[in-house]
Amino acid sequence: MKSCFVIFLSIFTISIVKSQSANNTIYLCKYDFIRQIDSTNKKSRITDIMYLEIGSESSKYYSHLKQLGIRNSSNDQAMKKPIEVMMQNHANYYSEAESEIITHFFKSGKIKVIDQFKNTYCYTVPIIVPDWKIQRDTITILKQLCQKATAFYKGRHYIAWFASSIPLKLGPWEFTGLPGLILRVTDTEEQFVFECTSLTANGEKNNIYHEYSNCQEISQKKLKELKRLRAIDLQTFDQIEYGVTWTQKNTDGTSVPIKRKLKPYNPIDLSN
Amino acid sequence: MRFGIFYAILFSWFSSFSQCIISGSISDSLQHLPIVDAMVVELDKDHTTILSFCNSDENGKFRLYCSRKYDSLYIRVSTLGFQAQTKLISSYTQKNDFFLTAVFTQLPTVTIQRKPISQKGDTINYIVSTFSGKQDRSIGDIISKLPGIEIGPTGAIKYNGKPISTYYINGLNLLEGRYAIANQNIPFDIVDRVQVLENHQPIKLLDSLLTNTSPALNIDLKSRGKNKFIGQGEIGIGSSPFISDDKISGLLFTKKIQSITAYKYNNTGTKLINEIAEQATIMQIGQNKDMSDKEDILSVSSLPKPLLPTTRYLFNNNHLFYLTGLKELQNKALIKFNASYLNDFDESSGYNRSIFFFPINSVAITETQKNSLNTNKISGNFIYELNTKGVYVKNLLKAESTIANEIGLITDSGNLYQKLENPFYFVQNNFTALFPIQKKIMTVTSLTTLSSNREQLDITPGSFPELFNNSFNYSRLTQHTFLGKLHSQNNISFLIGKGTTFLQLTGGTDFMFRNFRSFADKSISQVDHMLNDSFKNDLNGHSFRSYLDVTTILKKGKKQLTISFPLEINDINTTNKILNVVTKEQKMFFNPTVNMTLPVGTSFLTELTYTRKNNFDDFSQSANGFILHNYRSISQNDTILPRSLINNFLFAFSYRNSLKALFSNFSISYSTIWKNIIYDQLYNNVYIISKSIAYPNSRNNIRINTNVSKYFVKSRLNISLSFNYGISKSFQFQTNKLVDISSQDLSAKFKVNFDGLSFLSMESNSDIQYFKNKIISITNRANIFSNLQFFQNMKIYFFLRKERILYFNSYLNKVWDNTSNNSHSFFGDLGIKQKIKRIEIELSIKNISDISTYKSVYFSNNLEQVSQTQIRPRSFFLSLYFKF
Repeated sequence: MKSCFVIFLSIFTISIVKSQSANNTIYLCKYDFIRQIDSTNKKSRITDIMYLEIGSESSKYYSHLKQLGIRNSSNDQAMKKPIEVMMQNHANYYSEAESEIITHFFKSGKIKVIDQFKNTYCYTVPIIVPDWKIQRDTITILKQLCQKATAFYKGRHYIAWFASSIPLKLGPWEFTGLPGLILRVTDTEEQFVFECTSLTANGEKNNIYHEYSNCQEISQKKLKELKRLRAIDLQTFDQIEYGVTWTQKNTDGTSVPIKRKLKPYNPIDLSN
Repeated sequence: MRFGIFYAILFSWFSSFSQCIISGSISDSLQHLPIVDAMVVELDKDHTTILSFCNSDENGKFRLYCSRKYDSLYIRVSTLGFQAQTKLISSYTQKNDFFLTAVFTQLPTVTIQRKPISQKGDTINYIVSTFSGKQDRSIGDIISKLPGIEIGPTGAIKYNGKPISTYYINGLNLLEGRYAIANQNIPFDIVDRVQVLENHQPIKLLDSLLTNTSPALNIDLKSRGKNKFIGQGEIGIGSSPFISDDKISGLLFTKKIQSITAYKYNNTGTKLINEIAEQATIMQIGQNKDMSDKEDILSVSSLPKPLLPTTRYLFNNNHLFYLTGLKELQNKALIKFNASYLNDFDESSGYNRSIFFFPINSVAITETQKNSLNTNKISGNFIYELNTKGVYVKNLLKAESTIANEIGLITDSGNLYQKLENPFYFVQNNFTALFPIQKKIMTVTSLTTLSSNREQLDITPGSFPELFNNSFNYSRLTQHTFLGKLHSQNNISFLIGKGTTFLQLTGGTDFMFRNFRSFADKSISQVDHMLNDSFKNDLNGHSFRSYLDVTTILKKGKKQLTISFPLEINDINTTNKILNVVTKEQKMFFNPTVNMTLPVGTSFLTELTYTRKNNFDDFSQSANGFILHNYRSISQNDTILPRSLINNFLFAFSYRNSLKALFSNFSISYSTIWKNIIYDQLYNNVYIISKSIAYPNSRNNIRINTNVSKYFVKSRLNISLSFNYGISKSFQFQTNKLVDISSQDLSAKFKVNFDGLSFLSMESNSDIQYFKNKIISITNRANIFSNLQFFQNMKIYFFLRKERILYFNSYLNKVWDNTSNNSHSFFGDLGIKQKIKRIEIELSIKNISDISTYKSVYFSNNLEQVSQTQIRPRSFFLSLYFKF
């Protein structure tokens, strides 16, 4: 009887461990992501909701609001809603949300970044682990005791708070390499704040998520340049990416290009 | 070279002294396979703080540089899917291997719970999802449960004792004062937060300059409540008699467009007129109350309204349609329109006993009544509003037509038939503009109202035969009245100031023209006879008020002292065309007001106010021709111009602590009202003749109100306790004798909302009211009458299955009265609701015990009315609520 119980327990444990080893989501962390669009204006902050889906072989980090916006936009297009209605619904498309999807492959230590404008672009690079300095300060976030770590990473000074009770050396965006999941990370000027709001174990599948298809390889530098252009000068970006020129009609019926308005750009990554 | 080797050896010696290296491999305990990416950490003595860390490589090897702070150190190795292992080892460089056992790692599942109530600056945020229950439907259901907020019987919202001035939906004031429309129609599940904006200044140009002490409310919608059409409807039928309750409404809230449209019908006793009632108005400095209120002069004798929900006693048939819309223009201006149509037919019947108390004795009149009222009301307004930091312009054009026909039948000693026709029309334009001129802010306001109120009351057979027909009975008496008004208020003001001191200079005029006419005719043997001049009035009056107001505002943070010194010159001219008498009067009035707002700490706020108001009252009170107000009441007044002086002192303090979810307020006011005329009432069997005579008199009032409300977050329990006490002393002439009337009223209310259990939710309202009146004559003989009433309304909801709700609604009322028999009534309703996706089906039995009559008691001055009202019979009702 005792041996039967031991066999049953072993089978049970192995089956559970096996279920953890397949690359479906074993842990889902939701982050509130607050970013300052204009580095000189503290009021120019927008909030996004980011999902970090962790599997056993890789993790995926993306904006939930962006995915929601893509779905809403697709639904409206499928229903052939008139352009006026779609313009009214514009707030539901979350166009300001982060469009980048980052997949982190644990085994190779590489990340694949996919972004979508008119075309889908991607690149794969080895992940750069921040040089974390562990501090003794602690706080509690989501009932987890978190310890402080600091690092200078991609042009900004960061303060991270990680939970050693969660043995996952991951975090939002490209933050990795601490002995526990990062639950809060912010740059010292608080222009970028990632705050974990929810931790869910065992596979809450996000039905809204839709993988960008047919990605076109591009260099990291070129994609950064495209993103900068889209943020600063949407008109020029649209001209390059979509071949569209913004014009306005004169009273005599002729069209002239709309005057370009340059907007501020404050990327999280300040490295070259 | 030799130095180099020496330094290298020295450096490595120091390094090895300050740091140790723990290396080794990590593998699983069963198969000894290497574990990749396991975490190796050096822990402090308390096991919680990490001092250094590393990860195992692809071969399971690790190399940890430890701090060598102590003689021994804790090394912990952990990774997902394996049991973590901690070892205590000596703090010198060594090799140590770890073998981990496969185990299921339970990762924590935690989600941030938003605080139900939070505060940011002057904004209190209530998270709707934390206050909602499965039984709730509209946002009004939630607002009524929020601590610190109460909704009155007519739908008016108060926050910590103060009425709200503005009701925003996503920051836009769509409904102006008619916010019951939003409360009734916005589903709670599309609302994220209800926000109270304390000290809200609705005019952006004055923002940060002048503090407004009135709170405002904002409904902050979720993203799924925005940018799409939201439709909902309800169809309900029941018996017996056949009853129906149907509604359909559509809502749209985008960034620049908002709209609420609805059609509603019911004959279940729900009064739809409350939904379109104006709940809040803002008056500018110097302005008097606008004259848009309908003044009813004639009436049909009717039963006092029972202190019950109208669904218990009102037999009605009403339709309501309204359309409200808002659009933001390119220049950020808003255009708003609001149109409504109401057709309301009400019937009520019962028995009424009116007792008039005198110092020595009392007179009682008993009537068995059956009344019906048919109202057709069309109203609409159009608003243009530009509210930016640079300019404020608002123009409101409002129009209303109400045609009411009321019929009353009294069946005690032969049938007495009363019919009142009452068409009322009014148009109003209200313009306000604020703009900066050379470091000053200039305000221009103009309010013009034109109204007409015509009334005709037929009494069959004619009443007051001794007065109207030499004591002979006659077939019919008809009283006609007409009141036409033109009221125009215009002013201009300049606000000067900087930092902490502001000065507002206002100059303006107030012109009012009133025409009051009345006459009566009687019918004898089907022949109409016009009554003589004793029963006629034809008064024209115009008043002109010009005023200059100097208001000083001293402001420091939230502390504010406002002192107003208005000086008025009033010119009144009345012409009595019947008596051919012209009366002219000119008076200068000084009506100062002082208001001081003083916060104490971050949670307390004290307020001290003094107001003085000299006023010429409605000159139609000086009409000396007889006016038949209803079949048993007739009046004749003195011809002097009525005048009043009101002095009012108010002290109030409020406390709010959003962290503790505790809100409370207290206010005490003392007022004296001096008048130059007094009423004398003469009683002749069933008839009352009232006369106003020149006799200066005053009335003194003290009123104390207090309220405490506390929300217990964990148990989701909201408790609210309020206490109101009032005492007043006044004089009255009764049957030509001067009497002293002293009244006391006291009420204590206790409200509980409980949503803390998964299977039960409960709402209870208890109210105890005490009223005592003492009438004392000069000879010190007194007549005392008092009354105590208790009301208890309890709603209990049982959540049987996921989407099934069983509810019980009870209403208990007990009356202890020293002049009539004590009574008690108990009503109960039972119902069940089933939700199926977006549909909710409800089956209910109303008035289970089939109570047929209800006794209520009502007091005013020397009158007590005890009535028995017919109650709606037991009914079965099935309704279907749906969203689309």
